Amino acid sequence: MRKVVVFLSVLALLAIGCAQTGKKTGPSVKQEATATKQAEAKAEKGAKETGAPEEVAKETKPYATGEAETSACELKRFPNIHFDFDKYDLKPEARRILTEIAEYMKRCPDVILTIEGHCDERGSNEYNLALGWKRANEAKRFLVALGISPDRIITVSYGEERPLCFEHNEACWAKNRRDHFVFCRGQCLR
Amino acid sequence: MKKWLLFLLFLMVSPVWAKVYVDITSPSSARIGIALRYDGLSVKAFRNTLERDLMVYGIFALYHPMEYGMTKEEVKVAGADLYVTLDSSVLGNNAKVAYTVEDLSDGSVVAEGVLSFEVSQAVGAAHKVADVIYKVVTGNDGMFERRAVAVRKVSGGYELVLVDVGAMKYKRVAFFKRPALSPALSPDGKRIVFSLMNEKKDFDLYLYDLENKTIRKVCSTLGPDTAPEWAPDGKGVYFSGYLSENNADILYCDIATGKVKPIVRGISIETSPTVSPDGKKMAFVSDREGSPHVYLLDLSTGLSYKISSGRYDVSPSWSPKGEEVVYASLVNGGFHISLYNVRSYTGRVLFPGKDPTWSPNGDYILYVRSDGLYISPVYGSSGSGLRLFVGKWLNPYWR
Repeated sequence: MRKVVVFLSVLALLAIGCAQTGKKTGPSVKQEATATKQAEAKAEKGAKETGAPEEVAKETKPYATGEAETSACELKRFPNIHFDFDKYDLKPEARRILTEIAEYMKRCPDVILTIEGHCDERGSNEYNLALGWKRANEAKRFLVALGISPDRIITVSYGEERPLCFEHNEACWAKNRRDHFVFCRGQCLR
Repeated sequence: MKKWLLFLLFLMVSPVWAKVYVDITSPSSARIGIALRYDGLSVKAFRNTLERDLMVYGIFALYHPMEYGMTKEEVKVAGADLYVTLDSSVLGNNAKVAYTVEDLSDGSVVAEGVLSFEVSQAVGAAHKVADVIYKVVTGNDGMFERRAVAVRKVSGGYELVLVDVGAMKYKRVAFFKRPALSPALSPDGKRIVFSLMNEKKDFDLYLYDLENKTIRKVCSTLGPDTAPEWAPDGKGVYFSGYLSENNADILYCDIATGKVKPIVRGISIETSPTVSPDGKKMAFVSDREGSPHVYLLDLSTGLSYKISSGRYDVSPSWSPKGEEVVYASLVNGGFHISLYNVRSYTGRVLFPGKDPTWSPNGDYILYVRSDGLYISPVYGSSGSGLRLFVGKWLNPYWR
């Protein structure tokens, strides 16, 4: 009999505990559901603006958590990534920056990225335009592999036409061999 | 152009070109002495242009016997080989120049003729006489009647310019804020095809009509369309473009329809096509072996092989004579112009520079250095080159 009383008491305590937990979490769930709806609406709007398919909206669901995200989705600046002479493969540092960019783009589904590929002054304009294009597209491929829709990424090449640094030495050339990232909303370059 | 139609020309060139004073293909620093004698009313623009042309050719030493009261014998002793008499007359807007080229070694007349032209066309007339003198001396055609085209990088943008190499003058034909690159003059010299960045930051091929002064987009693919080169028939251009997003391939675009077809496709970068004068072969740049090198392609078989021997080779240009290809090669950290002979399979480094293009007669190279646009004879000892213009010049093209 005592065992039965103890079992019933434990059950009663558990029931109270669960009810209290439910009270605490109730409003948060509602809030989160509202935020998710808002994010979905925003994502849909963004998808309409950019002509991006619905998968853009799907990307947002796990990350949309309310007003804090609004400021997190301001158009951000990321550092350039750099390349060796006549190369377009991504270095570890470039992969790290691109991973951060992918996270940001997943959080902010209405953001469109333009990747500008640049080269140093050596070589011909023509070859460097093709190389700059390779550099931009290598970064794009990496982002797509991380789950970003290719429709949200525009690639352009400036070749050697927009140097950051104007001296004729390796330190300067190294700065100019880069991918530059520009974020925008809406139609951007489309 | 109408003015050129009005440009009346009566050229009576002596058919005797037997004697060649200079073998332009053999290294030599000896210059041919040209004594210039002006009679009658001198047309200043004619005289200035003629003397500048002869200076740019770089193989002449000029003598002015009249300024020093020298006789033919005296100027011959001083070193002149040829005595050129230019008898000019001007009536209103029209001018006439009768010229005679005399060999001072035996007194024979090796060329003579009469040019009638509008005074405003004196520069063109002077180019004709300069080219006649060049032909007398070398046996080769002159080159100054054809214009070159190039891009000048200026504050705020890019100028597409026509260059009168002999007169050392250039004229802007268009200005763009966005990058404009790789202009190529059509075989008839009336159109320029070039690569221009559009408002979406993508490069497409555009056509500039020099007669109508109109510009229109002619070819566009999935990526930057660059490096156009006219097919010899002038109906289409070979260029570097994208049938897929991944790699630049060599493509052909029909100018009239904009239709594009592949010529060289691969998983590497293919760019900078240049076609042999007979249209049967093409040289182009590929990084299929890791770094860019120049390859030669037989357009009928599709077979290609590497012809450049440097570590990093770009910008090939096929000689109008058909036997040689020049390109820019990275040597000891700087670009040099290199030459490859497609018959002997041999190559050699010529002089510092990049973006080479041949003169229309195949005897000179117009090219770029960081401080300007230069010209040098392909053969001979002229490593220093003649700087035509200072500034930031890109992609000269002279045919």
